[in-house]
Amino acid sequence: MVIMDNLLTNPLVQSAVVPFIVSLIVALILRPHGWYWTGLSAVAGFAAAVYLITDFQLFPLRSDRKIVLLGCGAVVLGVLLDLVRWRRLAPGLLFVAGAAACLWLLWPRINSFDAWPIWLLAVAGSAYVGWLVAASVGLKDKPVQADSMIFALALGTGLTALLGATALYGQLASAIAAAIGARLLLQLFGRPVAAGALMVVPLVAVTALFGIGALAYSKLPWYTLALLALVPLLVRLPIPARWPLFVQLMIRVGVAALPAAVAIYLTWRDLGAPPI
Amino acid sequence: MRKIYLAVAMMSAVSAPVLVNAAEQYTIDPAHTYPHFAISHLGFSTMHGRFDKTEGDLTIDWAKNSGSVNIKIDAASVNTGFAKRDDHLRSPDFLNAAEFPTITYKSTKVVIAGKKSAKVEGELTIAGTTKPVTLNVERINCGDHPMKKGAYVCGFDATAKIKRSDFGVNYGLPAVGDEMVLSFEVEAERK
Repeated sequence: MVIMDNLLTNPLVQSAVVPFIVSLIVALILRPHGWYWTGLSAVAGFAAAVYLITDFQLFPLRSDRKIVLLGCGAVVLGVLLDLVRWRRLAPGLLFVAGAAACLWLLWPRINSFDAWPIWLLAVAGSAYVGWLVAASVGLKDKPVQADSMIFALALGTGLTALLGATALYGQLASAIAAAIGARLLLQLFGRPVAAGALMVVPLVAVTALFGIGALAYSKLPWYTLALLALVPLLVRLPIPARWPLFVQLMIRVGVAALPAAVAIYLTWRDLGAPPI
Repeated sequence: MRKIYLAVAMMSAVSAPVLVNAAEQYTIDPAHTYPHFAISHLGFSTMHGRFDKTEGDLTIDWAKNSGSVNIKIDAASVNTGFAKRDDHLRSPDFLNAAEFPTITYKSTKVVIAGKKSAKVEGELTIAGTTKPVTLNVERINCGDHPMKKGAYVCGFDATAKIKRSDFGVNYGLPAVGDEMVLSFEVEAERK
Protein backbone atom coordinates (compact mmCIF):
# COMPACT_ATOMS: atom_id res chain seq x y z
CA MET A 1 0.00 0.00 0.00
CA VAL A 2 2.81 2.37 0.93
CA ILE A 3 4.64 1.48 -2.28
CA MET A 4 1.46 2.21 -4.26
CA ASP A 5 1.00 5.55 -2.47
CA ASN A 6 4.60 6.48 -3.18
CA LEU A 7 4.14 5.54 -6.82
CA LEU A 8 0.95 7.54 -7.23
CA THR A 9 2.46 10.63 -5.62
CA ASN A 10 5.52 10.46 -7.86
CA PRO A 11 5.26 13.38 -10.35
CA LEU A 12 6.64 11.28 -13.20
CA VAL A 13 4.04 8.57 -12.62
CA GLN A 14 1.25 11.14 -12.26
CA SER A 15 2.05 13.14 -15.37
CA ALA A 16 3.60 10.55 -17.71
CA VAL A 17 3.05 6.88 -16.84
CA VAL A 18 -0.61 6.97 -15.73
CA PRO A 19 -1.98 9.17 -18.55
CA PHE A 20 -0.03 7.13 -21.10
CA ILE A 21 -1.33 3.78 -19.84
CA VAL A 22 -4.94 4.97 -19.37
CA SER A 23 -4.98 6.54 -22.82
CA LEU A 24 -3.51 3.39 -24.38
CA ILE A 25 -6.02 1.07 -22.70
CA VAL A 26 -9.02 3.27 -23.53
CA ALA A 27 -7.84 3.66 -27.13
CA LEU A 28 -7.47 -0.11 -27.51
CA ILE A 29 -10.96 -0.64 -26.10
CA LEU A 30 -12.65 2.07 -28.18
CA ARG A 31 -10.69 1.71 -31.43
CA PRO A 32 -12.72 -1.20 -32.84
CA HIS A 33 -15.89 0.89 -32.44
CA GLY A 34 -14.53 3.51 -34.81
CA TRP A 35 -16.12 6.93 -34.83
CA TYR A 36 -14.90 9.75 -32.67
CA TRP A 37 -15.32 8.13 -29.28
CA THR A 38 -11.73 6.89 -29.61
CA GLY A 39 -10.76 10.51 -29.03
CA LEU A 40 -11.89 10.00 -25.46
CA SER A 41 -8.74 7.91 -24.90
CA ALA A 42 -6.50 10.95 -24.52
CA VAL A 43 -9.19 12.82 -22.60
CA ALA A 44 -9.41 9.88 -20.17
CA GLY A 45 -5.61 9.80 -19.80
CA PHE A 46 -5.57 13.48 -18.98
CA ALA A 47 -8.51 13.12 -16.57
CA ALA A 48 -6.64 10.35 -14.71
CA ALA A 49 -3.63 12.65 -14.32
CA VAL A 50 -5.85 15.52 -13.12
CA TYR A 51 -7.35 13.22 -10.51
CA LEU A 52 -3.93 12.17 -9.21
CA ILE A 53 -2.43 15.66 -9.26
CA THR A 54 -5.35 17.82 -8.08
CA ASP A 55 -7.79 15.29 -6.59
CA PHE A 56 -10.52 16.98 -8.69
CA GLN A 57 -11.03 19.62 -6.00
CA LEU A 58 -12.88 22.66 -7.28
CA PHE A 59 -12.73 25.20 -4.47
CA PRO A 60 -11.24 27.69 -3.98
CA LEU A 61 -11.68 28.23 -7.69
CA ARG A 62 -8.13 29.04 -8.75
CA SER A 63 -6.72 29.11 -12.27
CA ASP A 64 -5.76 25.43 -12.66
CA ARG A 65 -9.23 24.37 -11.49
CA LYS A 66 -10.85 26.88 -13.84
CA ILE A 67 -8.88 25.31 -16.69
CA VAL A 68 -10.08 21.82 -15.77
CA LEU A 69 -13.68 23.11 -15.59
CA LEU A 70 -13.29 24.79 -18.96
CA GLY A 71 -11.87 21.53 -20.30
CA CYS A 72 -15.02 19.70 -19.18
CA GLY A 73 -17.13 22.32 -20.97
CA ALA A 74 -14.95 21.97 -24.05
CA VAL A 75 -15.59 18.20 -24.16
CA VAL A 76 -19.33 18.91 -24.38
CA LEU A 77 -18.68 21.53 -27.07
CA GLY A 78 -16.49 19.04 -28.92
CA VAL A 79 -19.21 16.36 -28.85
CA LEU A 80 -21.70 18.91 -30.23
CA LEU A 81 -19.29 19.81 -33.02
CA ASP A 82 -18.91 16.13 -33.88
CA LEU A 83 -22.65 15.55 -33.91
CA VAL A 84 -23.70 18.73 -35.68
CA ARG A 85 -21.92 19.79 -38.84
CA TRP A 86 -21.22 23.47 -38.29
CA ARG A 87 -18.37 23.69 -40.76
CA ARG A 88 -18.64 27.42 -41.39
CA LEU A 89 -19.54 28.53 -37.92
CA ALA A 90 -17.22 26.29 -35.93
CA PRO A 91 -13.88 28.17 -36.20
CA GLY A 92 -15.46 31.54 -35.42
CA LEU A 93 -17.50 30.11 -32.56
CA LEU A 94 -14.44 28.38 -31.12
CA PHE A 95 -12.33 31.52 -31.43
CA VAL A 96 -14.87 33.52 -29.42
CA ALA A 97 -15.28 30.72 -26.85
CA GLY A 98 -11.49 30.37 -26.48
CA ALA A 99 -11.03 34.11 -26.05
CA ALA A 100 -13.82 34.24 -23.45
CA ALA A 101 -12.28 31.32 -21.55
CA CYS A 102 -8.94 33.13 -21.52
CA LEU A 103 -10.51 36.31 -20.13
CA TRP A 104 -12.19 34.34 -17.34
CA LEU A 105 -8.87 32.72 -16.52
CA LEU A 106 -7.11 36.08 -16.40
CA TRP A 107 -9.92 37.88 -14.58
CA PRO A 108 -8.21 38.03 -11.14
CA ARG A 109 -5.28 39.86 -12.71
CA ILE A 110 -7.40 42.07 -14.95
CA ASN A 111 -9.62 42.90 -11.98
CA SER A 112 -6.66 43.93 -9.83
CA PHE A 113 -5.80 46.64 -12.38
CA ASP A 114 -2.15 45.74 -12.73
CA ALA A 115 0.04 47.78 -15.00
CA TRP A 116 -0.78 48.01 -18.73
CA PRO A 117 0.93 44.72 -19.74
CA ILE A 118 -1.95 42.78 -18.19
CA TRP A 119 -4.29 44.38 -20.73
CA LEU A 120 -1.87 43.44 -23.47
CA LEU A 121 -1.80 39.94 -22.04
CA ALA A 122 -5.62 39.83 -22.01
CA VAL A 123 -5.78 40.77 -25.70
CA ALA A 124 -2.82 38.67 -26.87
CA GLY A 125 -3.78 35.77 -24.60
CA SER A 126 -7.34 35.69 -25.89
CA ALA A 127 -6.02 35.76 -29.45
CA TYR A 128 -3.59 32.90 -28.62
CA VAL A 129 -6.26 30.64 -27.11
CA GLY A 130 -8.82 31.57 -29.79
CA TRP A 131 -6.30 30.96 -32.59
CA LEU A 132 -5.16 27.56 -31.33
CA VAL A 133 -8.68 26.25 -30.74
CA ALA A 134 -10.11 27.62 -33.99
CA ALA A 135 -7.11 26.37 -36.01
CA SER A 136 -7.21 22.91 -34.48
CA VAL A 137 -10.83 21.99 -35.16
CA GLY A 138 -10.06 21.61 -38.88
CA LEU A 139 -7.82 18.65 -37.98
CA LYS A 140 -10.47 16.69 -36.11
CA ASP A 141 -10.77 14.21 -39.01
CA LYS A 142 -7.00 13.91 -39.45
CA PRO A 143 -5.77 11.99 -36.41
CA VAL A 144 -2.07 11.94 -37.35
CA GLN A 145 -1.98 15.71 -37.73
CA ALA A 146 -4.23 16.31 -34.71
CA ASP A 147 -2.15 14.07 -32.46
CA SER A 148 1.13 15.55 -33.72
CA MET A 149 -0.14 19.06 -33.06
CA ILE A 150 -1.48 18.39 -29.55
CA PHE A 151 1.65 16.39 -28.64
CA ALA A 152 3.94 19.24 -29.68
CA LEU A 153 1.78 21.91 -28.01
CA ALA A 154 1.43 19.98 -24.75
CA LEU A 155 5.09 18.96 -24.58
CA GLY A 156 6.22 22.52 -25.30
CA THR A 157 3.79 24.01 -22.78
CA GLY A 158 4.53 21.39 -20.13
CA LEU A 159 8.30 21.53 -20.22
CA THR A 160 8.50 25.32 -20.52
CA ALA A 161 6.02 25.66 -17.64
CA LEU A 162 8.23 23.38 -15.54
CA LEU A 163 11.20 25.62 -16.31
CA GLY A 164 9.06 28.72 -15.82
CA ALA A 165 8.57 27.79 -12.15
CA THR A 166 5.11 26.27 -12.03
CA ALA A 167 5.42 22.52 -11.82
CA LEU A 168 1.66 22.15 -11.39
CA TYR A 169 0.91 23.50 -14.87
CA GLY A 170 3.96 21.71 -16.20
CA GLN A 171 2.75 18.37 -14.88
CA LEU A 172 -0.80 18.84 -16.13
CA ALA A 173 0.26 19.91 -19.63
CA SER A 174 2.85 17.11 -19.83
CA ALA A 175 0.10 14.62 -18.96
CA ILE A 176 -1.69 15.63 -22.18
CA ALA A 177 1.50 14.96 -24.15
CA ALA A 178 1.82 11.54 -22.50
CA ALA A 179 -1.82 10.66 -23.22
CA ILE A 180 -1.41 11.66 -26.87
CA GLY A 181 1.89 9.75 -26.93
CA ALA A 182 -0.04 6.50 -26.42
CA ARG A 183 -2.21 7.29 -29.44
CA LEU A 184 0.85 8.15 -31.51
CA LEU A 185 2.38 4.82 -30.55
CA LEU A 186 -0.68 2.97 -31.82
CA GLN A 187 -0.57 4.92 -35.07
CA LEU A 188 3.12 4.23 -35.41
CA PHE A 189 2.27 0.54 -35.50
CA GLY A 190 -0.29 1.15 -38.23
CA ARG A 191 -3.39 1.25 -36.06
CA PRO A 192 -5.26 4.47 -36.88
CA VAL A 193 -7.25 5.95 -34.01
CA ALA A 194 -9.90 8.57 -34.67
CA ALA A 195 -9.55 11.97 -33.02
CA GLY A 196 -12.72 14.06 -33.37
CA ALA A 197 -13.59 17.47 -32.00
CA LEU A 198 -14.36 15.87 -28.63
CA MET A 199 -10.62 15.28 -28.23
CA VAL A 200 -9.11 18.11 -30.24
CA VAL A 201 -11.17 20.99 -28.80
CA PRO A 202 -10.77 20.28 -25.06
CA LEU A 203 -7.12 19.21 -25.16
CA VAL A 204 -6.00 22.13 -27.33
CA ALA A 205 -8.08 24.57 -25.25
CA VAL A 206 -6.68 23.23 -21.98
CA THR A 207 -3.09 23.26 -23.28
CA ALA A 208 -3.46 26.82 -24.56
CA LEU A 209 -4.97 27.94 -21.24
CA PHE A 210 -2.14 26.31 -19.28
CA GLY A 211 0.29 28.33 -21.38
CA ILE A 212 -1.56 31.57 -20.69
CA GLY A 213 -1.94 30.70 -17.00
CA ALA A 214 1.78 29.99 -16.67
CA LEU A 215 2.48 33.35 -18.32
CA ALA A 216 0.04 35.31 -16.17
CA TYR A 217 0.49 33.58 -12.82
CA SER A 218 4.10 32.53 -13.06
CA LYS A 219 7.14 33.46 -15.11
CA LEU A 220 6.67 31.76 -18.47
CA PRO A 221 8.30 33.99 -21.13
CA TRP A 222 5.88 35.37 -23.74
CA TYR A 223 8.01 34.22 -26.69
CA THR A 224 7.32 30.61 -25.68
CA LEU A 225 3.67 31.03 -26.61
CA ALA A 226 4.54 33.00 -29.76
CA LEU A 227 6.59 30.01 -30.92
CA LEU A 228 3.93 27.46 -29.93
CA ALA A 229 1.34 29.43 -31.93
CA LEU A 230 3.20 28.27 -35.06
CA VAL A 231 2.46 24.59 -34.38
CA PRO A 232 -1.00 24.48 -36.06
CA LEU A 233 0.54 25.99 -39.21
CA LEU A 234 3.56 23.68 -39.36
CA VAL A 235 1.49 20.56 -38.81
CA ARG A 236 -0.39 21.37 -42.02
CA LEU A 237 2.70 21.19 -44.24
CA PRO A 238 1.85 18.94 -47.19
CA ILE A 239 3.34 15.45 -47.06
CA PRO A 240 2.76 12.97 -49.92
CA ALA A 241 -0.04 10.62 -48.93
CA ARG A 242 1.72 7.70 -50.65
CA TRP A 243 4.47 7.72 -48.04
CA PRO A 244 4.17 5.08 -45.32
CA LEU A 245 2.06 6.16 -42.35
CA PHE A 246 4.90 5.86 -39.86
CA VAL A 247 7.11 8.09 -42.05
CA GLN A 248 4.34 10.67 -42.30
CA LEU A 249 3.84 10.47 -38.58
CA MET A 250 7.53 10.88 -37.74
CA ILE A 251 7.80 13.89 -40.06
CA ARG A 252 4.62 15.47 -38.73
CA VAL A 253 5.67 15.07 -35.10
CA GLY A 254 9.21 16.28 -35.87
CA VAL A 255 8.04 19.39 -37.74
CA ALA A 256 5.34 20.20 -35.17
CA ALA A 257 7.76 19.75 -32.29
CA LEU A 258 10.33 22.10 -33.84
CA PRO A 259 8.92 25.38 -32.40
CA ALA A 260 8.28 23.56 -29.12
CA ALA A 261 11.93 22.47 -28.98
CA VAL A 262 13.10 26.03 -29.69
CA ALA A 263 10.73 27.35 -27.00
CA ILE A 264 12.03 24.81 -24.47
CA TYR A 265 15.65 25.67 -25.30
CA LEU A 266 15.09 29.45 -25.04
CA THR A 267 13.19 29.10 -21.76
CA TRP A 268 15.91 26.88 -20.33
CA ARG A 269 18.60 29.33 -21.53
CA ASP A 270 16.83 32.32 -19.95
CA LEU A 271 15.45 30.75 -16.77
CA GLY A 272 17.71 27.77 -16.17
CA ALA A 273 16.70 24.62 -14.38
CA PRO A 274 13.73 24.74 -11.99
CA PRO A 275 14.57 25.26 -8.30
CA ILE A 276 14.65 22.06 -6.26
CA MET B 1 -30.51 66.40 46.19
CA ARG B 2 -30.26 68.06 42.75
CA LYS B 3 -26.56 68.64 43.42
CA ILE B 4 -26.07 64.91 44.03
CA TYR B 5 -27.87 64.05 40.75
CA LEU B 6 -25.73 66.59 38.94
CA ALA B 7 -22.54 65.17 40.44
CA VAL B 8 -23.54 61.60 39.47
CA ALA B 9 -24.40 62.72 35.95
CA MET B 10 -21.04 64.51 35.58
CA MET B 11 -19.14 61.47 36.87
CA SER B 12 -20.99 59.26 34.41
CA ALA B 13 -20.16 61.60 31.56
CA VAL B 14 -16.47 61.59 32.47
CA SER B 15 -16.23 57.84 33.07
CA ALA B 16 -18.17 56.79 29.93
CA PRO B 17 -15.30 57.38 27.46
CA VAL B 18 -12.96 55.55 29.81
CA LEU B 19 -15.22 52.50 29.68
CA VAL B 20 -15.56 52.75 25.87
CA ASN B 21 -11.78 53.02 25.49
CA ALA B 22 -11.01 50.17 27.87
CA ALA B 23 -9.75 48.15 24.89
CA GLU B 24 -6.60 49.77 23.57
CA GLN B 25 -6.28 49.93 19.81
CA TYR B 26 -2.98 49.44 18.03
CA THR B 27 -1.70 49.64 14.48
CA ILE B 28 0.92 47.10 13.46
CA ASP B 29 4.27 48.64 12.59
CA PRO B 30 5.23 47.11 9.19
CA ALA B 31 8.87 48.04 9.72
CA HIS B 32 9.13 45.84 12.80
CA THR B 33 6.71 43.03 12.00
CA TYR B 34 7.95 40.15 9.89
CA PRO B 35 6.10 36.84 9.72
CA HIS B 36 8.58 33.99 9.34
CA PHE B 37 8.21 30.37 8.38
CA ALA B 38 10.39 27.31 8.77
CA ILE B 39 9.96 24.13 6.76
CA SER B 40 11.88 20.92 6.21
CA HIS B 41 13.77 20.85 2.92
CA LEU B 42 13.78 17.25 1.67
CA GLY B 43 14.47 16.13 5.21
CA PHE B 44 18.03 17.49 5.07
CA SER B 45 17.69 20.90 6.65
CA THR B 46 15.18 23.45 7.89
CA MET B 47 14.66 26.28 5.45
CA HIS B 48 13.60 29.68 6.73
CA GLY B 49 11.79 32.44 4.92
CA ARG B 50 9.85 35.56 5.72
CA PHE B 51 7.31 37.99 4.36
CA ASP B 52 8.56 41.53 3.92
CA LYS B 53 5.20 43.37 3.85
CA THR B 54 2.67 43.06 6.65
CA GLU B 55 -0.06 45.32 7.95
CA GLY B 56 -2.89 45.07 10.43
CA ASP B 57 -4.23 46.10 13.79
CA LEU B 58 -4.82 44.78 17.28
CA THR B 59 -6.86 45.57 20.30
CA ILE B 60 -5.88 44.71 23.85
CA ASP B 61 -8.37 44.79 26.68
CA TRP B 62 -6.28 44.39 29.80
CA ALA B 63 -9.33 44.57 32.05
CA LYS B 64 -10.98 41.58 30.35
CA ASN B 65 -7.70 39.82 29.43
CA SER B 66 -8.98 39.79 25.88
CA GLY B 67 -8.47 41.49 22.55
CA SER B 68 -8.29 40.91 18.81
CA VAL B 69 -5.70 40.45 16.08
CA ASN B 70 -6.08 41.23 12.41
CA ILE B 71 -3.05 40.69 10.18
CA LYS B 72 -2.70 41.03 6.40
CA ILE B 73 0.44 39.69 4.74
CA ASP B 74 1.44 40.46 1.16
CA ALA B 75 1.96 36.95 -0.28
CA ALA B 76 4.19 38.28 -3.06
CA SER B 77 6.62 39.70 -0.49
CA VAL B 78 7.89 36.21 0.39
CA ASN B 79 11.65 36.26 0.75
CA THR B 80 13.98 33.31 1.25
CA GLY B 81 17.09 35.07 0.00
CA PHE B 82 17.05 33.29 -3.39
CA ALA B 83 15.09 35.06 -6.13
CA LYS B 84 14.32 31.99 -8.23
CA ARG B 85 12.95 30.06 -5.26
CA ASP B 86 10.89 33.12 -4.27
CA ASP B 87 9.39 33.20 -7.78
CA HIS B 88 8.50 29.55 -7.37
CA LEU B 89 6.94 30.20 -3.96
CA ARG B 90 4.80 32.96 -5.54
CA SER B 91 3.66 30.63 -8.35
CA PRO B 92 0.50 28.46 -8.38
CA ASP B 93 2.60 25.60 -6.94
CA PHE B 94 2.67 27.31 -3.54
CA LEU B 95 1.16 30.68 -2.58
CA ASN B 96 -0.38 31.55 -5.97
CA ALA B 97 0.27 35.19 -5.11
CA ALA B 98 -1.14 36.67 -8.31
CA GLU B 99 -4.53 35.07 -7.69
CA PHE B 100 -4.50 35.27 -3.90
CA PRO B 101 -2.42 38.35 -3.10
CA THR B 102 -3.00 38.38 0.66
CA ILE B 103 -2.52 35.93 3.48
CA THR B 104 -4.74 36.90 6.39
CA TYR B 105 -5.09 36.01 10.03
CA LYS B 106 -8.20 37.10 11.92
CA SER B 107 -8.64 36.22 15.55
CA THR B 108 -11.85 34.75 16.90
CA LYS B 109 -10.85 34.54 20.57
CA VAL B 110 -7.97 36.03 22.55
CA VAL B 111 -7.13 34.97 26.09
CA ILE B 112 -4.36 36.92 27.78
CA ALA B 113 -2.72 34.88 30.51
CA GLY B 114 -0.98 37.18 32.93
CA LYS B 115 0.99 40.07 31.50
CA LYS B 116 3.37 38.26 29.19
CA SER B 117 1.56 35.53 27.29
CA ALA B 118 -1.67 34.83 25.47
CA LYS B 119 -3.45 32.27 23.36
CA VAL B 120 -5.06 33.51 20.17
CA GLU B 121 -7.57 31.43 18.27
CA GLY B 122 -8.32 32.57 14.79
CA GLU B 123 -8.60 31.83 11.11
CA LEU B 124 -5.66 31.78 8.76
CA THR B 125 -6.30 32.15 5.03
CA ILE B 126 -3.62 31.02 2.58
CA ALA B 127 -4.23 30.75 -1.17
CA GLY B 128 -7.95 31.22 -0.67
CA THR B 129 -8.36 28.41 1.88
CA THR B 130 -9.29 29.29 5.46
CA LYS B 131 -8.47 27.07 8.44
CA PRO B 132 -8.52 27.60 12.22
CA VAL B 133 -5.07 28.22 13.66
CA THR B 134 -4.08 28.92 17.26
CA LEU B 135 -1.20 31.28 17.95
CA ASN B 136 0.84 30.94 21.13
CA VAL B 137 1.84 34.45 22.12
CA GLU B 138 4.80 35.08 24.41
CA ARG B 139 7.00 37.94 25.57
CA ILE B 140 4.29 40.60 25.50
CA ASN B 141 6.09 43.86 26.24
CA CYS B 142 4.42 47.24 26.33
CA GLY B 143 5.72 50.69 27.13
CA ASP B 144 6.65 54.15 25.94
CA HIS B 145 8.84 54.14 22.83
CA PRO B 146 12.28 55.38 23.95
CA MET B 147 13.03 57.16 20.66
CA LYS B 148 9.61 58.34 19.56
CA LYS B 149 8.06 60.86 21.88
CA GLY B 150 4.44 60.18 22.84
CA ALA B 151 4.33 56.77 21.20
CA TYR B 152 3.16 53.79 23.25
CA VAL B 153 4.17 50.45 21.78
CA CYS B 154 3.33 46.80 22.43
CA GLY B 155 5.29 43.92 21.00
CA PHE B 156 5.12 40.16 21.19
CA ASP B 157 6.32 36.94 19.62
CA ALA B 158 3.73 34.46 18.35
CA THR B 159 4.14 30.98 16.92
CA ALA B 160 1.88 28.36 15.37
CA LYS B 161 2.27 25.04 13.63
CA ILE B 162 0.32 24.40 10.46
CA LYS B 163 0.19 21.80 7.71
CA ARG B 164 0.43 23.42 4.29
CA SER B 165 -1.59 20.57 2.78
CA ASP B 166 -4.56 21.78 4.86
CA PHE B 167 -4.46 24.91 2.71
CA GLY B 168 -4.25 23.01 -0.57
CA VAL B 169 -0.54 23.74 -0.97
CA ASN B 170 0.54 20.23 -1.90
CA TYR B 171 3.49 20.73 -4.23
CA GLY B 172 6.51 18.57 -3.46
CA LEU B 173 4.80 16.51 -0.77
CA PRO B 174 6.03 14.48 0.99
CA ALA B 175 9.66 15.31 0.07
CA VAL B 176 9.31 18.98 0.97
CA GLY B 177 7.86 19.14 4.48
CA ASP B 178 4.16 19.43 5.14
CA GLU B 179 4.40 20.85 8.67
CA MET B 180 5.48 24.45 8.92
CA VAL B 181 6.29 26.62 11.91
CA LEU B 182 4.92 30.14 11.56
CA SER B 183 6.40 32.88 13.71
CA PHE B 184 5.19 36.42 14.01
CA GLU B 185 7.38 39.03 15.68
CA VAL B 186 4.98 41.92 16.02
CA GLU B 187 5.30 45.52 17.09
CA ALA B 188 2.26 47.75 17.19
CA GLU B 189 1.74 51.39 18.15
CA ARG B 190 -1.25 52.52 20.15
CA LYS B 191 -3.61 54.77 18.19
